[in-house]
Amino acid sequence: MLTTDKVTKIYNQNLPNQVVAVKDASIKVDEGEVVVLQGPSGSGKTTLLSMIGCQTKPNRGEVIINENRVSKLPDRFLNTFKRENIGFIFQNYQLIPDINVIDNIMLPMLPSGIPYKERIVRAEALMRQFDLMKRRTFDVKNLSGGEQQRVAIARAMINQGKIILADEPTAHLDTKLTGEFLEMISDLKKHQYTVVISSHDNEIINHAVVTKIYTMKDGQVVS
Amino acid sequence: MAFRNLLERQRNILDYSLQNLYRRKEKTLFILVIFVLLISVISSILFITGSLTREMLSTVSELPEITVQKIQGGRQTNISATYLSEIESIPGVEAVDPRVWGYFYLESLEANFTIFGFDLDTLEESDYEKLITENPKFASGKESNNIFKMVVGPGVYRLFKKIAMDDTFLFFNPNWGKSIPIDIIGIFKPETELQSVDLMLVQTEAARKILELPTGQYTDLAVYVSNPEEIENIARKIKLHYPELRTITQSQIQSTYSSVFGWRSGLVLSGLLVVIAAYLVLIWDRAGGLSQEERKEIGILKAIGWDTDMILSVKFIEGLILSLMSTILGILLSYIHIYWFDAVGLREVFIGWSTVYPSFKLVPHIDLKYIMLILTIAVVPYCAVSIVPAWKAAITDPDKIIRNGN
Repeated sequence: MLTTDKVTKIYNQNLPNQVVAVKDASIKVDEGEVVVLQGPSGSGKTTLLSMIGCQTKPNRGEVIINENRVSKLPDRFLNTFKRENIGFIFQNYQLIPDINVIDNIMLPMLPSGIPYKERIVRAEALMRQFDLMKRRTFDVKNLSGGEQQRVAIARAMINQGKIILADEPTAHLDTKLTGEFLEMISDLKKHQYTVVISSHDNEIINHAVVTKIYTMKDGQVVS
Repeated sequence: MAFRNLLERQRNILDYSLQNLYRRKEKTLFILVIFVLLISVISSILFITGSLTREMLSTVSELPEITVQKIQGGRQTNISATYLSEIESIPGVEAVDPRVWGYFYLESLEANFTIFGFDLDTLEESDYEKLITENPKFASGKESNNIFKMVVGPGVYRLFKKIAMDDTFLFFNPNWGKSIPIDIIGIFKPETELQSVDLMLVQTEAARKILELPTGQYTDLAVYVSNPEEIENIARKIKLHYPELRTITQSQIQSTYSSVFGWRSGLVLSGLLVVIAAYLVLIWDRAGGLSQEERKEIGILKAIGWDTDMILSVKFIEGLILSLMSTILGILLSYIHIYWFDAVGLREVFIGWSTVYPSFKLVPHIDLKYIMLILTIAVVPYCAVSIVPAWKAAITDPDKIIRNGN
């Protein structure tokens, strides 16, 4: 389903401030799995997740998703592939604060030219699932942290891609909201979604829903 | 992508651009106001120059083909009647009209008037009705004498009314020892104001007295030529036969007027250059540079799968809507300024020939090339300014923008 083959990411290559964020990292994720990338801050979890999510390209190595060598795809095809296959939940959610909930959720659908009615149907279904209907027209900046997280998850799922990537999703949540998040992940697993989470939160790492854990240190996958 | 989806995508781009302009109301409004002011100033100058040039061309077309003046000691002096028949005998010359005209400075009003000698009795009835309104004060009973009468421009009449001399004006010069009373029998109609504002069309004999022009002497000669191709030739012949005379052709006057209006509009524009440059820097800064939030938003859009060309399209349409709207509003504002409010603040710069300023009514004249020029200088650079920083952000790894944006 999803593999990284000895991927390396170097920021500011050949400059005095060069940083090797990830080095020769190889992982394998099967369909329907919930995988956690764990490790301390600066270990390269987010960078590896960004490479899997087509947010940045590796300097060396390959990312292969559904037998597509995505790290070699030109930008035009990469964006289409990303929209159709991957939903990304960013650290701090990365929503557009002065746009309302439903418009934020529908944003990833705009480039595909999906008709308005269909966009509304899909967004409302997700808002019902995540109990956001009452907040439908609220600007995202006026929502609580938990609500923002649910909007971010709904946005990641709107294009119906079967891979969900989440970067430190519980970093700013209390225990109750973390519990709610893990319930949502369990639900996704039931529906055969493949989930990769980067986290150093023990509540996630030790949860029963997780099927595999990769540990990272100094940019390398150590176990 | 199916055609229907492609259309929907274009609609989404337009919707998102409009939403962006609305979301950033303050920025949008700020740029709009600055832009509208700038465009309206530039288009006002272009409109006024265009209308005046058009007015000038129609005036020049009514001038004699050649004006002949006598030069003595490097300056113009009176010309003798003897030249009249000599010039008339040059082949190709249709007619020669001797003219009596000059200026009269009225110290008490600090105003300078143009006096033109004319045999008012020869004026056709139809021309009289078309150009002149009877002086209501004079028409109320007085009988005008045959020699000492005149028709004045509306600006002159307004001034004379102030000093209660709107029926008969007393010309006075300390050298004369006594004043010369001239009856004001009519006033030029307002539509001729640009040409007639400071004009006094005085019966020729009376004009001679006021201008102290001896009998047999004229100010200049108006030479009419039937074949326009011959004008330059005849002017050359006159100069060849009479080196003491100067000839001014219609086309020379036209080019002088054109350069004067061009020079004046250029002067105003260059005076505004510093202001324009300051506006442009401001707009570049506010519109061109992306704020941290805007950069981050582009990063987010890229991260959720938006294509670079879609992001650029959004920014291009934002710029296009804003600059087109500003241009249209700016042009409308300047139209109102020039043609409804008589170019207040600018008219003195352009038509300040005399101390008697015309009450200024220009005929609207919008040249398509001016509109194209304004659109080119406003819309094209602004759209480019909007796109470049967005393009820079859109080709950067979304991962990098989002991390830095945190």
